[in-house]
Amino acid sequence: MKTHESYIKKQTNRRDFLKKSGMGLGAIALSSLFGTDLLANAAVKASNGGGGILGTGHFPAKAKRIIYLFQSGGPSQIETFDYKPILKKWHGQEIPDSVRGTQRNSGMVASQSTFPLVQSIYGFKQYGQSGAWVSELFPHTAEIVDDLCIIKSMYTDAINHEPAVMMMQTGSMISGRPSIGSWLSYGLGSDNDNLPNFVVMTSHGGGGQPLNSLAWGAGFLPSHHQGVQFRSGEEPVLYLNNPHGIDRDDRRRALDKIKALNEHQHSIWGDPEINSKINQYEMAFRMQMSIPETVDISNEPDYIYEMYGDDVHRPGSYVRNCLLARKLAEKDVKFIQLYHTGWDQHGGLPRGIKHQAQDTDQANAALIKDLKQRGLLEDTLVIWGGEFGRTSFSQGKLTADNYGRDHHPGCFTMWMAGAGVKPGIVYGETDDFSYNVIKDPVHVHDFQATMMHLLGIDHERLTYKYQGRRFRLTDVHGHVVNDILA
Amino acid sequence: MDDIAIFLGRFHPLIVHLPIGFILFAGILELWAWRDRSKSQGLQLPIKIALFSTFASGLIAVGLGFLLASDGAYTGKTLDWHMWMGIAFCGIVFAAWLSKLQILSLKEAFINILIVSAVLAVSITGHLGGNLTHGSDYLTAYAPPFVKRVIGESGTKLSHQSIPLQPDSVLIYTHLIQPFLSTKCYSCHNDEKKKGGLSMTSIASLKKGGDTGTALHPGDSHESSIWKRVIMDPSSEKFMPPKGSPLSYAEVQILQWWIDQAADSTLTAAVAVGDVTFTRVLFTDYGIDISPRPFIERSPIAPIDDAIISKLKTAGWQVRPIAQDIHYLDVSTSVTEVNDEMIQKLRMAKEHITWLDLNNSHLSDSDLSFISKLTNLTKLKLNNNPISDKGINLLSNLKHLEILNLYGTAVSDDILTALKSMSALEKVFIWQTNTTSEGIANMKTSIPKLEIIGGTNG
Repeated sequence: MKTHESYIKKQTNRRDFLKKSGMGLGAIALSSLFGTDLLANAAVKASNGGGGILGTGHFPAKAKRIIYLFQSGGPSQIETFDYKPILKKWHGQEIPDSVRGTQRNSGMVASQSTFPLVQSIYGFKQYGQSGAWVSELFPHTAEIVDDLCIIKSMYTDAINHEPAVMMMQTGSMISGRPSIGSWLSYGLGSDNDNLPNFVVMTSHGGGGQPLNSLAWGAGFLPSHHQGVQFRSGEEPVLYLNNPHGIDRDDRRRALDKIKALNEHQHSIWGDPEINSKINQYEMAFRMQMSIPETVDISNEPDYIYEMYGDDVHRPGSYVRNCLLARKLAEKDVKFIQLYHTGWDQHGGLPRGIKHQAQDTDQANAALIKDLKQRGLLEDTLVIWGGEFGRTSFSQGKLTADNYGRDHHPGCFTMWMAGAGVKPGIVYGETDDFSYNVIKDPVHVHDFQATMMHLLGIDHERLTYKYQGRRFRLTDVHGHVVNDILA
Repeated sequence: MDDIAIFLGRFHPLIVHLPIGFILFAGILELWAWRDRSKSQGLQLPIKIALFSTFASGLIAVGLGFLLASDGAYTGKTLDWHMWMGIAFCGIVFAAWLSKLQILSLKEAFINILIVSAVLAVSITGHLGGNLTHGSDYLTAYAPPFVKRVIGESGTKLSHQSIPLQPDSVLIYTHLIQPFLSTKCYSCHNDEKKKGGLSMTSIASLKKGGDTGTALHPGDSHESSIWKRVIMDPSSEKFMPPKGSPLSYAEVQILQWWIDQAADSTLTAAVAVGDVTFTRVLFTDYGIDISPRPFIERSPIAPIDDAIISKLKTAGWQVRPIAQDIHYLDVSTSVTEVNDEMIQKLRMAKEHITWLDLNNSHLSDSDLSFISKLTNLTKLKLNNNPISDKGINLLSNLKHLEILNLYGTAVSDDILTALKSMSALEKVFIWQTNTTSEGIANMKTSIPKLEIIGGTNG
């Protein structure tokens, strides 16, 4: 029955629908005859857990949800986790051609006549039982290294922000594909009927490169799978209260009428986007109840505020968003996507990155600790990282206390923590200059495949047919990095 | 002298075919003569020539046979029988020839019997010789099963399919090593034919070794010629096996691993759990998965009736199977106050529920007596419920429980006994409970493998 049902559902996707219109009205009549009832059922089914196209995962899920702390702009690996003592010796000297090789550089350094290597202005120390090296910029993260799996051998195909962010978030440099959270929503459905499956929070204060909302778009998937963006202000979701004189029952009756109209329309046109609309109205109605409680942090004890840092009191700050992320995780939201911009230090890196670290370090560590003590780190995967790394040579003039670094797709560092990932390990290596990956390379698609695996999904088997071919998050690439799985 | 002897001796397998051919030809001529008496007289001379040729070549074959056996590569009962049958054959043929020359006066019928027995004798000798050269199962190895049944050999060969699937019942030597030794080594190194003085048919005989000393040095593959000889340059004279397909990569790996692990016959694949190469070789070449597996994969369960799932859903539970081919259930709820009725419904799926999330559900200690019926639980979240030690003690029968979340409950240090009896328990969360730092320290010493996760404050 299930395959039959999904078959008919596929029959009524928009593209096929248009094709059918060309073929004649008979086909429309036929497909809607089958379509309506089943689609209505599918919509109803989504309201009691699950509802994803896969029904259940291909494997047992280690992670039930993800908190993705996206550090947009491309944090320098050299000032954060990828400790390169040899750069001290090479400081100020030209990067050897043998190292630079044929790796691409951006147009922004094309006119540079000299490419002096530059060591990190910030010191490093080893921490924890794992002995991982962490920069002095991240004193709080240093405390939790034994919970982290630090991957130093990430690399990507893109050299500029927009395509690189798209690559990380949708698996393709060209915008328009579904984002990670949308795929998960489509594949696994929801664990909490009253909250969106995929929440996006951007934070104030980073500045720098803007974000494109297509990074959390649903692409060609039904649009109710797109990320729901919380506003970074006092009220994350607007208009939750009913207008004066309208109570919840009135609202419900109105929605029922609208739903009936929509269903009628759907029975005529068979457009799945009408169903998305119905889903979204229903979700908004439920969010009127669930959101105020979830985003209210006033009941948190003082020591929780202290753990996250003072910025927690500033709505829209990264710190506040980290605390909200924990609260959403407690409510079983499947994909919680944070963005913090401003990691794009082409010049003035020492000052810039310090500022960024101060905005985020304590909250990152607090989030991990907080999830851990609640037992949530057992089934929540936390990911930290940007869209690419930065060059080991200076962009612009290298002075005693100032330098910059350009975009560098060849290597960068990310970390993962929690569900199903080996804690307290450092995976992969770069060369002495942090320019090339020399051991255990992890491509963006490998990273995505691994993440899907942790959620119980075989990345090769969650597909969506669109424009005549089947698409997946990892396109035709990606290998699960088995060595980091616990 | 020895080398010349062996050089000549190696012509034995060539020369032996002459007496076989001659005696069969003599038999055919005799049959011809018996069928048509009129030609009988004219055939007597060819028969005499055939018998003489048989006898002469037979003697040469016997002589060469002694030379071949003199290097000691072949020993045992089969060789003895082969030798005596060969000598007897020569004797019979000699007698038959003398009778034909009428030096011995025997009746025609008796001469015929002699020739028939000579044919029989040469067949048996030849077969034994073949067994010595190629190994006793050479002829029947590929025989159809009914033939094997007739000759009393078991119809099934030791193959990959017959290897047990549980790592602790896979015997490295018996299931993995012996099969390839038997197809690739035994034909030259068995108890009867000991090339280089070595029989490989048992661990003892490997340890005993051959002319150049022990073949198996338990614990040290690099000192064991059985391993060194199969990994050396294949063009070397010493490379084994000298003909036929060499050992595969997997076979070499398994052999080395087994030798390095003291080469014991009782060694099982369970010992190899954690050895990455070995684990992969077993999986890719033998389809044996010895990677450590969690309970839900180790003990499969049949799918539950869909009707029960619907009933649970109607009662307010979120239910989903763990994975597409793992039919245990993951159960949770977004209902804030779980009542007795709801909890009791869980009994319908008591064997299937393995992950249960009851955080923040206003549970009481008495509710936990129902939970204790769910004996296949592996992950249980009870955090933020007004439950105490009394409730946890009810759960001590949960032998498969791996993760237990008790944060935000009223449990104290006294849960130690209950935790101890949960023999599979790996992690327990006790932040914001009535446990004390001394109590936690005590738990850590009592259950060393248990990870106890407290909190930062409170």
